[in-house]
Amino acid sequence: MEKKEYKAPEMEIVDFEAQACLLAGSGVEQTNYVYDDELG
Amino acid sequence: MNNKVLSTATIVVVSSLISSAWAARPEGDPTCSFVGGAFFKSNNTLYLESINDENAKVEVDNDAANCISNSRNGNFKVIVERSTALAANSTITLPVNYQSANECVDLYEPLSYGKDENGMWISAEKHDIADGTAHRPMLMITDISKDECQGIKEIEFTATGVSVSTQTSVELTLRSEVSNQGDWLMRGSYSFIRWDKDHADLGTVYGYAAKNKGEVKAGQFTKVGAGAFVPPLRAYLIYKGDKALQKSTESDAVELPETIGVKLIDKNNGTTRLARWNMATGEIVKVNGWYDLKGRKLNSKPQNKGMFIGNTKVQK
Repeated sequence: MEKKEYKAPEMEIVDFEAQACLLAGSGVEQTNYVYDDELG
Repeated sequence: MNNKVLSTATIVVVSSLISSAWAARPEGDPTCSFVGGAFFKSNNTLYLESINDENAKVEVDNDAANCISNSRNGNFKVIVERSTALAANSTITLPVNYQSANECVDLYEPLSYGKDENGMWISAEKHDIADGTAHRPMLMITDISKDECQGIKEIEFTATGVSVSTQTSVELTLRSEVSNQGDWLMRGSYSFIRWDKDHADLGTVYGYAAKNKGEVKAGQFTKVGAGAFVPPLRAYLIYKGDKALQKSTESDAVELPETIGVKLIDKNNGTTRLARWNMATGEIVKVNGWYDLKGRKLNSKPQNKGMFIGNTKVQK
């Protein structure tokens, strides 16, 4: 009997750089926004 | 005549709208009065004002501090009245030793400043909800994803004692992990401060935006520009280190960043809350190091298979 090989579909590598969040307050890309109103 | 009546009516209506934004203080004269606040023995509560007014300040002098100490019944309640509702991230500096009495608000203590392995400036803040010390600036995280935590203009604390606060500000020096010196100050405000275009500190000041303004969202940690201001009882970050870092003209010098990441460390070191801050602030920030999907930090890049969040990819 011929042996069949089953190959699981490869998982897609997800780029979490734009999704994962650990820190509050800053962006992945440095911005040039300057705030000129009330600080909390 | 009619105009006068109308003006008077308008003032009354506006005044009532302003006062209705905060819970009413007890009727009658306060037991202890001082600039920017009052203590009422009838409900054992100290009221402090953190409002947008050029002349605003909170000044607990010796007489007021003695009056409060002699009038309070054990631990007492503190209500900080703000003219702007709490965003996801904000700051607090109080002239009392206190604990948070609001389930929506967590307190974080500033620890250090430095750069991560990607060269990104990082502020580390340790979760320490147990105690807030008088005159020590703290970071407040508000879970505005909950309905009951939105629009908070009164923040409630339980205080164990009051301290004199006649200075305009208090400072907490933070050691930079880059220079190994105390280059950064977390400065708590007891008076209203505005950074006009000629202000000497402009370009070295950072803080949490209280409102949505342009591309900046409420709660975002951002560089302060001309015209920005901070009411009393809050805090901001200021750089006091090497001047060469501030406004560099030499190509090899390093300029101060436009934004600084704020790393939140929970009580059980290494555990961080990944999605929550993203949802709350709208911010997108690179993860430093490796974490599992429960937010637990790993010592190194994982060798076994599974889902992990790393610097750029999910490791599978």
